Amino acid sequence: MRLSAETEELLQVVTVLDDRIDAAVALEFKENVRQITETAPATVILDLSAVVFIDSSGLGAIVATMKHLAPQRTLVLAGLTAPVDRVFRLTRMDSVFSLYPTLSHALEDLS
Amino acid sequence: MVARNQGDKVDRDTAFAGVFEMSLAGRTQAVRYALTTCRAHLSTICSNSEKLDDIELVIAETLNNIVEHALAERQDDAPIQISCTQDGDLISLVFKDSGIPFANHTPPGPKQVGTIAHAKSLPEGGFGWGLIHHLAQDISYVRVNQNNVLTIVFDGVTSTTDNAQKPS
Repeated sequence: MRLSAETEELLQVVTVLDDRIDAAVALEFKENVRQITETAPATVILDLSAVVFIDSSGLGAIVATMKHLAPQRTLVLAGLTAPVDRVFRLTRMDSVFSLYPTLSHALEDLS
Repeated sequence: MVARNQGDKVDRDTAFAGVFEMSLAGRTQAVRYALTTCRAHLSTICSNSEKLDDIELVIAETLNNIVEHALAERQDDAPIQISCTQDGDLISLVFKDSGIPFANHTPPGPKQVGTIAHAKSLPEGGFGWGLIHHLAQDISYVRVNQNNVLTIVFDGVTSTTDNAQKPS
């Protein structure tokens, strides 16, 4: 599970470079995000624009990440592709995360 | 031909036509590869990408459930067989494995997945069966000769627009 991170003063952008967050990588995803956000500022934007498939294990891993970062830091999600967006809506998890259609929308709103 | 449930009276020559059959090792890594193969086969009969996304997700949740529960104690890479048949707008996917049966020989229900209250409780798991129930038209299960045989039916597979959502 490959990630990249860019940190500014008030926010960090974590980009998922792989195209699937599924049961095969859910644990590794959780662990890698945990490490990369260790010293993150108050807002972490997870850029999911490369991700075209997420299953319930992947969704659970993102929820676990949000809970791990809270309460000091907020996780927001950006760049959801149609199939990923659908999983968040079907499970109503769109009601607990801030979702932005693109990274630039998120940066504009949060910077 | 295709594995059918016991007692199924459908004449297989006139009803469901075979779309594909495959077998995979019961491991999460194998699931990922199997999904790509399934989607490639399904795209020959379904041109609606949202429907393909839904079916792929249901297959993923079903296979992960088999790997993580039915076959969890197995060390021998017990296979999972999938067969897919089509009858007009319907497809039927049959999953067969030799793992342990469901508790009470009944697949889990949808739980509260898809409700605001469930989402607000921030669950880290247990979404799988909610998604399967939400996206599939029918789910049936039989235990046959020490095997689990789970059949999942989708409709609206050959329509080009997504108008086949079941009412929620």
